[in-house]
Parts: sequence; structure tokens; C-alpha cells
Amino acid sequence: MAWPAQTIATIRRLDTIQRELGDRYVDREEAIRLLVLAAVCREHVLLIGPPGTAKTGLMDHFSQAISARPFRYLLTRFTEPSELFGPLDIEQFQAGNYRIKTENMLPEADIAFLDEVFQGSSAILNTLLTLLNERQFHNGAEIRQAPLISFYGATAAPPEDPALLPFSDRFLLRLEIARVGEDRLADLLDTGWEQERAVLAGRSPAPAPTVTPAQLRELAAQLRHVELKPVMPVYQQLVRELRAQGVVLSDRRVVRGLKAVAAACLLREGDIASSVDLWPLRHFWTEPEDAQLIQQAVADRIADDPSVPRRPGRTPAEILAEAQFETDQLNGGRFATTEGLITATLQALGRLRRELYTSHPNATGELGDLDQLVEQVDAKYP
Amino acid sequence: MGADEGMSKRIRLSVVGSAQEQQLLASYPSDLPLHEALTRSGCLLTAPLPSRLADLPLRAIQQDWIDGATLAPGTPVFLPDRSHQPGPPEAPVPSGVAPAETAPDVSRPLDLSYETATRVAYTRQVEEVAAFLRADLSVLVICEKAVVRYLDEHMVLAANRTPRVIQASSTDSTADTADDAAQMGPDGAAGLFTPPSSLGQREMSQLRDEIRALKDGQVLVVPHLDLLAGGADGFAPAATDVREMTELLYGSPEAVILAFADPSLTIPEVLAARFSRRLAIEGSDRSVIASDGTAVPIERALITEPEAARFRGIDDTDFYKHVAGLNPVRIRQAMRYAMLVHEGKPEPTAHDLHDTIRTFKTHLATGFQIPKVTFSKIGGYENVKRELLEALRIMAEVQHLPDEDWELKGSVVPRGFIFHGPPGTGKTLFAKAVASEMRGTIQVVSGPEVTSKWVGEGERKVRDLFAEARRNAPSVIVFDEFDSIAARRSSGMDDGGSRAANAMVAQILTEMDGFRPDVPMIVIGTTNRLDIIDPALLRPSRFRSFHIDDPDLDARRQIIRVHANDHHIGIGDDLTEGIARRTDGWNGDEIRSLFRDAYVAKWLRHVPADDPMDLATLLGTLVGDISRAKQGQHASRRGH
Repeated sequence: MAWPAQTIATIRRLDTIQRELGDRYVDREEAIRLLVLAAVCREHVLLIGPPGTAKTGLMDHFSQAISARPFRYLLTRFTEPSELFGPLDIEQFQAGNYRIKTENMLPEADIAFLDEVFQGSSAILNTLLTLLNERQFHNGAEIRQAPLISFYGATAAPPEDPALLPFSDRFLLRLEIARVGEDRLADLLDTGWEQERAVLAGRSPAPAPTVTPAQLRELAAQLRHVELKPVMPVYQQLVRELRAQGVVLSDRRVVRGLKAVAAACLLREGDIASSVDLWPLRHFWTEPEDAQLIQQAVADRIADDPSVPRRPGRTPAEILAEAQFETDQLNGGRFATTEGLITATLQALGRLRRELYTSHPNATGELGDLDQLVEQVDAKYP
Repeated sequence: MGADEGMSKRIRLSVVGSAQEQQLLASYPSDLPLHEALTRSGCLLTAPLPSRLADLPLRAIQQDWIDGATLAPGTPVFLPDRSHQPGPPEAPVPSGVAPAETAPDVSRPLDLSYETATRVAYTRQVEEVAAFLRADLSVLVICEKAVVRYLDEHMVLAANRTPRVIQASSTDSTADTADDAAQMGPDGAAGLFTPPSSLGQREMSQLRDEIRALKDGQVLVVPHLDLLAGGADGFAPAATDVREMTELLYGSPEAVILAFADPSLTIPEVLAARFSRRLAIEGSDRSVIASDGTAVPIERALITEPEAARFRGIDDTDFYKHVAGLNPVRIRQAMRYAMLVHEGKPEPTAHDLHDTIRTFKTHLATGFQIPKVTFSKIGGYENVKRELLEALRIMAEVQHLPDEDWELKGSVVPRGFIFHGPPGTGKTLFAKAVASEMRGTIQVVSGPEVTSKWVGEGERKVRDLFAEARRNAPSVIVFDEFDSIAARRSSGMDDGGSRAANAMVAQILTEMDGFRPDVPMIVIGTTNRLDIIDPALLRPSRFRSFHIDDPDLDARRQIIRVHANDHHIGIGDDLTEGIARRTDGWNGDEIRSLFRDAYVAKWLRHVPADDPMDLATLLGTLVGDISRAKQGQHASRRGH
């Protein structure tokens, strides 16, 4: 079956968001992909990584892009439940009712992000358990449905305390966020400075809201139409193999994992799952030491399925256009042409040339044009 | 992961459009050619689309989104088609607002933080201080605590020097971002334990370290000199603190210091003398210096665009009158408060704004209130009323005189009134009516409130009282029973008590001499013993005296009408005339007591008074009772 136009539009918008965020955050493509996937299958993600790796910024931008009501907080061991769920309603209390004012607090958020999530007291974690699992919030005697789409927890290290295991098991997906690698450092500095400049100029670098929570909900409802039968045998085999190797995988997560696979399929606008849709399982581990094992096992199974069209890479024309852009910046830029600027441009052109050569070895015409540009720039050295 | 999404894109385009257009653009396949996607979604560009970008797929370009509604009118926009024709200049005119109002002659800020407001309003003072600092001279600034934090480093930076700020709190490690705190991990509580020494001691030791390490081109900033070395609330500071401070400050004579002190706290003279320049910053100036060097009325600089749009017809002279005594932080708070109060109300005017600011000011101060009595509530005394209104009118008109006549303005405005006359004639009432005529605030002080058994305390209280009055301007300070503090200054055989009172009178006179013509303030003294008031106070340039005598026949008629109305007793003209004639020599308070008694009789004792005859009988009896009581008092007084 083909998806309705509405569904396709939402998927493409999510794709645009993914691209926009990818432009703004270097080396976070996998994290962004996972954020979008989690929002579609309405599951929770645990982000593990050191401070200063753009976790918070990513979350903020993402919740703006899907126009969700966000709730963000840093937990400490001394955080009171009222700081997250809202203060006691004194007027109601005097009238004899125990009520909590949840306006603008976690129970009314679409997207929640709690930093240092395992630092929370048991009172907080218990309430979170219900909120995460049933999406319900017990306000006094009344049980209310929470609009929560996804809950993102961040922590510097996964918990070792066994008492925290039930809680950490609620996070279907895990993602390790490392500092930006050596090879992407130039990009990091470039985009980072670009964003700082935007902030200094008073322009908010936030993406415009593109998708609404209601559209996300409709998209999630479409998950049930994804045909999973073709991947079931592979999935079964994978789980069996992993469990045999001693990887801890709870039944809950094994079952819910199917949802992630369905979402992966939906996000590539497909309706019949294929082995390429198993990629979310890479983030399926419980213990960090299992991560390597799982990733290997999943990678073995994500064979290139010939029936699934591959996403096209950058065309030679695109690469050449960027090279031309870089050169134009140098020629018509607002700054005097200094040696440093020329060197930086040459480096960028070199990088583009490498990309062109590795992905399109046959595009000799474009390669020649690029070489001309390199010569042009090189000639500018005084 | 998708190996194809490796590098971040460098080609950026600014795309103009509405939210719907953006959503449309986002829902196209990522390999749709750029020009087609832009054309189909109806989006515009801020620059012509270069032809070699037009055929690239949508995903190759990073789009900076610009909401069409926020675009300044007249900004050129371009259609994305390849003909590169410039599109029509988009001029989004917000509906319902006339274009003339969207383009004010002087621009107002859209939003204003306390910091910016303070710096804008005090540009002149900052320049002055900076000039001294550049000359390596130490400066002591006397200003309210609320503005100190926005000025301290700023002044030093304006002088092109490096500030070294004494701040005990800065030594604490505080986690202000989520990620920082994450680093603390299990030791997250480390910041909770403070060193055993007190804040003051820590600041002192920091001061000691900094002053020794101070280098050329650095300025030591002491934001709270008064707290370090002064006494709280005017009490004498601990001798050891002053001693240590004095030794420290004089020990490094070449160190350039910028210190701040609050006007309400005293600092020892020996410390203040360490500074080459003392500068008092109080309230706000009428105009501020804009970045281009021109003088801009404060109302232009400190009222934001949305605020000006809500309150129509704000006039700068008028506005300044109401905020002259407030520092910029307070003005901003008052405006925020006003915005909140008038949220959603239809068409509030500048008048409403001034009333709200007045309410805001009385919330700040303990003693000042909004008067409820107006001149229309005072019966009779047409002469006095006329004279008072004339004086107040001069005060209002003076604001519009040219600035060159500053000195003259000061000598023209009335500063004080003395209301004298027999007791019970409504002198305090007049004072309140004056305040409400000025649309100002009032504080009634009775003599004993400002006197104190400590010598020097009285002057301090007077000083504080006037400082508060300045903040609440336009304001009226009423000294009830003025004779109790402003009695004729005694000479020769004087005791300590009269010396203290003399000092207080001197303080009041000094304060009055310092009134600024553009900050409307009036001091009113009421007394029934004009004979013992210090003649120095009765000089016309200080206090203008008004005699408020027992009411004459006509005034009594008016008073009777006012009170009869207030007490819901309907009396006709005949009865009014009768009572007015029978009450010769009565004062206003006695006439009021007549109606109070009548009210009690009618409503609480249920004496029949609805019929005109019954009412006449009742009032007649009461007039007789009161007259008899007066005669009794008279007789017993004569008896002595």
C-alpha cells in the first residue's frame, strides 16, 4: 500500500528537520536520526555522554522544530518532586483536596529532557516510571493522561545501582554521545562560530516549527500499517543470538524494539520492512560493554537490500556548487584576502575534491572544473 | 548511518515566507530542484538566486528562515524564478494601525533590560566618573543599591580601565548550566559548604589582597563600601572595621578606587575623604544622552515601543514629573507593573499610567499614601482655595519654562506652606487636597515621629523622609503640629533637647533649599500656635503662610452641605440657613460632630427624622447640646 499524502508530507518535513539540525550540529547525525525516530515511535531515549556535547541545545532545537511544549531540568539528589511536577495547589488543599498545579510542568510537556536523570530521588523516579510507561500522571486521586511524546534522559554514565534498573529499562534506546571526532573538528569550529555569530547578531538560530505534535501523533498511528513479517525471522534470530551471548535484553524491550523497526521503515517512506530498517537496534544495548557486540551483530544483518532504493549521495554538481561558493566567498567577501583565508579556502576545496573523487570517480568534467578553482585560489597567494 | 550525510553544508540562503509556506517547503522531497521548490511553495529570497544554485537539489542548501511578517517595510525581496526580477517590495502594514504611528520621529527601544535602562539613563554620570578614573582619581558614588550592579564595572570599562571587583559571592562555585553541574557528579553538594568566615570578613580579606596586587590601569571596584565600613541603618560602625578600612585605603594612596554607597547609610567621613570626588546619583535626569550625542527625553529612552503603544499621549514633561525621583530600575519596574495592571484594558491613557505609577510608588514606600480628599470636598474658604490653586498652577506651569531659566525656576516655585488657625478648621484636610491636586502622594508626620532621644537621630530621620519623598514625587510632606519641632529657636539658657530640635529645623530648611524645580515637592506645616514658630521659617521664600480661620457664615453653609450629604441627612435650604446662623464661632470639626450625632440618632437610636419638622427638632436639640458644651468649656477655662 502507499501512504496517504498527509503522511508523506509529515515524513518529509521530519526529514527536513533532520537535515536542518544536521547542518547545525556537527557529527550528531546519528543522534538526530534517533531523536526523530523516538518521537515517531513515542519511545524514550537515554543519552550517555560527557558535558558540553550539545545534548541540551539539540533537544531545544528539536522541540522547537516539532513545536512541542518542552520541559527541561537538571536533577540533583536534592531536587524536590514539586520542581518537576508542579507545586501543591494551596487553595484546593485548604478545601480538602490534594492537587498539584501541573501547568507548564513535566506532566504537561510534549518533550521532556532531564539531565543527570539517575540523580533523582526515589520519589521522583517512581512518578517518572508511571509517566514513562503508561503516560499517566496521578494527580491526587485523579489519573490524568500525559501528552508526553518522548522522554530524553541524559547521564554521564549508565547507573550501576540495581535499584535503578527498572527505571533505566524504560528507555528503549540508548545513545552514546562522544565529543566531535578529530576529522570533523574543522566543521565543528565552522558551524559553531556561525551559530555564535547568529546569536551575537541577535538572530535566533532556532529552526522554524515545521511539524506539530498532532501530526506526529497521526504518523505514530500509521505505524500499525507497516508490514513487519519480512524482518520477523531476522529479528528473532538476532534476539536469540544476542541472548545466547549473555546480552541483557528484557522482554519489554525486545517487544518494543519492533516499534522502532516499524518507525525506521516508515521514515524512509516504505511500508514493508526490510533488513535495512533494523538500524535502530544498534542502540538497543543495556550494558555499555555489550554495545560493540550488538552493533556488530546488527551491522552483519543490515545487508543492502536491493529492493530498497538507496538514498542518493551528493551529486557532482552539488559538490562543485559548494566549491564555487567557497571561491566566491574569497573573491567577493567582505574581508581583505589574507593568506590565512586563502589557506582555509584551499583546505575546503581539498576536502570537496576528496569527496568528489571518492564518491564519483567517473565525474572527470567536474573534477577538472574543481582543479581549475584550486588553481584560481592558489594564484592569489601574494 | 547514512554515509551520504557527511559534511555540513556551507551554502546558505535567506528564505522569506510565512509559516505555512515554510511547512510546504519542508514537505517536498529533498532532491527537488531548488528553484522549483521555492516557486511551488511561494517563498521569496532576500537576494537574487544565482543561476548555478537554481538546479541544485533542495537538500544542498541550508535555509535561514525569515518570517515575512517580521521583515522591515521596504526590504527588497526577490522571486526565485530564473528571470531574477526583483519582486514587489513587501510592506506588511499591521492592520488597524495607521502608518503614521508605526514610524515615530524618535525611535524607542523594543525591549529594555534593567541593565540597559540604567546605563542609558546614567550616560552623563558614567562619563563624568569615567573622566575622573581616567585621570587616576578615586571616586565615591552615592546611589541606590539597585543600580550599583549595573554601573560598577561599566563605569570602569567606560574609562578604558580593567575593573577588579570585590565580590565575596564570586568565590563560590555555582553551577549555572546543566552541563557544568553534570560534571560535579556525585560531589554535586560540594558548593553547599561555605567557609566559616562571614561574608564581610571574606570581602575584607579580598579587598586586602586586591588592593596590594592592583596594577597600573586597573581600578578597584568596591560595590558596597557602606556595608564594609559603614554602620547599618545609621548606627555607628564597629570601630575596628573603620580602622582597618582606613589603614587599607590610605595605605595604598596610588590605588584608583571606585566605591559605591547607599544614600541611606552613612560612611565615616575619614573614609569618604579618601576619594577625590564624591558624586551623588539620585532619581533620573529629565533627558539622557543618546549614542549619537543628542539629548533625548527620558520618556523616549526608557519607555519601550509596546508600552508607548498601549498608553496613548505620553508627554515627556508630564511623565518626568511622575518618575523624577525614581531610579531607572524603578522606572522600568513601574512600567512593567503598569503594563501588567492595564493588560487587556481598553485604551488606557497617559493619565491612567501616571495613576498606576503613583500606586506603584506607594507600594514601595511605607509612609506615603495616595490622598483621597479633593478641594471639592472642602466647603467654603474660597479665598484660601483660590490662592492655593494659583500656587499649584504656577508649579505646574514652571515645568514648561525654558531650561536656561533653571535658577529662576527654582526661585519661582513654592516650596512650603504653613497653614495656621484655630484647631479643628481642616488644616490637614487642606494639605491632603493639595496633594491630590498635584496628583501626588502624601505623608503626614507628627512631631514626635521624627524626634528621638538620640542627638542626631532626628536629622537622619528628616533626611530619610525627604529622600523617600523625592522618590515618591510629586509628593507632599505634612508636619502636623509643626510648632512641636519648629518652635522659635531658643538662645541663651538652652538645654540639649532644644538644640536637637534646632538641628532638625536646620535640616528641614537645608532639604527645602535643595528642592529641584522639576521634581514637584511641597512641605506643609500645620499649627495653631503661629506665635511660637521660628520666624526664620516664615520668610516668604521658604514657607508661605495661609490663615485658616473659623468658617464664616458662607463657609459654614458649604460645610453643612458637605457633611449633610456625607452623612445622608437630607436637609433643605431653610434648615441649612438656620443651622449656619446658629453656629457662629463653630469650627468645621464641630459642625461635623453635629451631623455625626444626627446620624447616630437617626440610624442607631432610631429617633424619627424623616419628616422635615422632626429633623429640624433633632438638629435643633443637637445644636443646643453642643453649644452648651462649648459654653461649659469656656466657663471652666475662665474659672482658672
